[in-house]
Amino acid sequence: MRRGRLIAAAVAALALVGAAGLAAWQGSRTCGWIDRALGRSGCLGTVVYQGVVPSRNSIAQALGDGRAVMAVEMRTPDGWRPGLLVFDPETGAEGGRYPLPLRGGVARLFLSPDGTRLLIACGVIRQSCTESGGDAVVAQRDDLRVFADVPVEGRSLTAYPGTPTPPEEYSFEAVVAARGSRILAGGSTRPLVLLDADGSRIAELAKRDMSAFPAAVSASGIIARGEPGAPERGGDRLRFWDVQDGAELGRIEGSAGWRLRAPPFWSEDGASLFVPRGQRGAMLLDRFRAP
Amino acid sequence: MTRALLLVALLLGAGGAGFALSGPCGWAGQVAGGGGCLAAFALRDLVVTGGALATDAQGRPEQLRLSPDGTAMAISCNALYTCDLPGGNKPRQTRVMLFDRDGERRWFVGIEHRHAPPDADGRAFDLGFSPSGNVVFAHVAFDAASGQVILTRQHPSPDPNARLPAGAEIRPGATRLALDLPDGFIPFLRLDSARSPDGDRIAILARRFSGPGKLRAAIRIHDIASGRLLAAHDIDRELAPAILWHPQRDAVIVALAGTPAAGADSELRLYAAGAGE
Repeated sequence: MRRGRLIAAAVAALALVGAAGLAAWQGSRTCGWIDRALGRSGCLGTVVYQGVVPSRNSIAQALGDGRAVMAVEMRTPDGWRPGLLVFDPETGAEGGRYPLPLRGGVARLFLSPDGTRLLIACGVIRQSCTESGGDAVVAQRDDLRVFADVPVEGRSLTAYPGTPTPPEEYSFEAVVAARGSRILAGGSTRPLVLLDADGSRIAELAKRDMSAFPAAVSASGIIARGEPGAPERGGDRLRFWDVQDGAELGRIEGSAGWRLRAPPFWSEDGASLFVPRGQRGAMLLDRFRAP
Repeated sequence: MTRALLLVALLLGAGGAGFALSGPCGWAGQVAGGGGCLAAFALRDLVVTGGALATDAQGRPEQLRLSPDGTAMAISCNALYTCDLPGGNKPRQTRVMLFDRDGERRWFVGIEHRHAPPDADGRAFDLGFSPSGNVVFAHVAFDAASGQVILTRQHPSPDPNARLPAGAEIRPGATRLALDLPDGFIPFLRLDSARSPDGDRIAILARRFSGPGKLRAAIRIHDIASGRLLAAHDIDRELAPAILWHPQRDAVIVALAGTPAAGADSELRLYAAGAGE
């Protein structure tokens, strides 16, 4: 009888130790509760969007009012379909899920300079994706239910038409940054380089890497890029550079299994970085404080 | 006293459990009159002519159409709205099949997506019968009796069931209708509709595109001439886009959205079109 109790107590203790170990292991991973409590990675929290799957090219577009929009695959009654997710990345609150009038591919989003219109262009590879065979549609930012076809020039659109864009020789990945004083070019098929407005090279930030995500530049002048980490770590990492001189500001090495699903993006004030990940048909959005 | 209270609690609990298990369109739901749902049945048991039209079909129908005389039914399916057919469901085709009133499948055909590419909602063409019922329009025109192509050019469907652009206001003809949908309910790009056999009323089906929210679909039935709302059903289950006006009853038929996979079946439901049902 006593021996039976001892065995039961031992099994219970073992289960408790196992559960505690599992909780500690989970918590110590990037953005786990221990990681957040100790402030190791700078992760502030994670929000979850069920039934949302971003792709590598789902680049979030700030809407100018604290909200952001992403083109993602969404779970619908008809299966997974392309749609727009409007959300507040700080709080995680959803502002709506809208169907896209596009056939396949991942759309690229551009907000007009006055902040009233959202241009939705076909992916770089798949063109003529609108129902009428066009390459882009436009909608009012405050009503993403009504779309109109709009002509665009070239398949490598990197900014809203009419706004400053880098010369074509810098490839389709190049973007203008720091209020037009810098050009950030390359990243996947070419090295990631920082140039001044005249095209003079300031610094090579990273080697070319087809697995790396497009870099994002904050309003406060920090470049962030997600890329695969060292193979032995088994997770992805974030790297940060100063947009003025290209100096590296820091890195966040993700724990094993911490994999990005879409490019990181900044809050409008540059204080927070958001990192989309995926998990069983849901998008996880990790929030980090800026380095 | 205590026993009586216990008995009442037991009965209430059993009643609640029965309702929860049967759902608003189950036996308990119908007794309670919840949700306006009149009946639930399978595609193979679709009742259209007074008797059961026992088809050999399973699946989630994309479009359901009845011939003008009610003696035949056409169904379309595609990669999203599966049909179980000989040879399985082909992802690069939209398939159409025709049943007679005894439920015998007269024919089925596949229309290649490269000939009729689906739009952003997944629809490749509007399915419909000619006014005589002799022709089925499905991108091209088919002889309803044989399934042979009789017109190879794309032909506009004359069917009164049409999709309407989703917006705060819709226009089925000259009348403007305001759809009374709750805040935050964002439907698919287009609403499906079905006109009553006499052409006086329109049933509009709005399905929530994605995301959280108890209300998943809504049916609104309006008088076309006056725009008056005659019936409104808020539905907490996901629906397929098919909607069909019942030829004999004052009700519309819709299909629950099952899993989009080969072998998936879909439950049909009947909703009242007015106070008469």
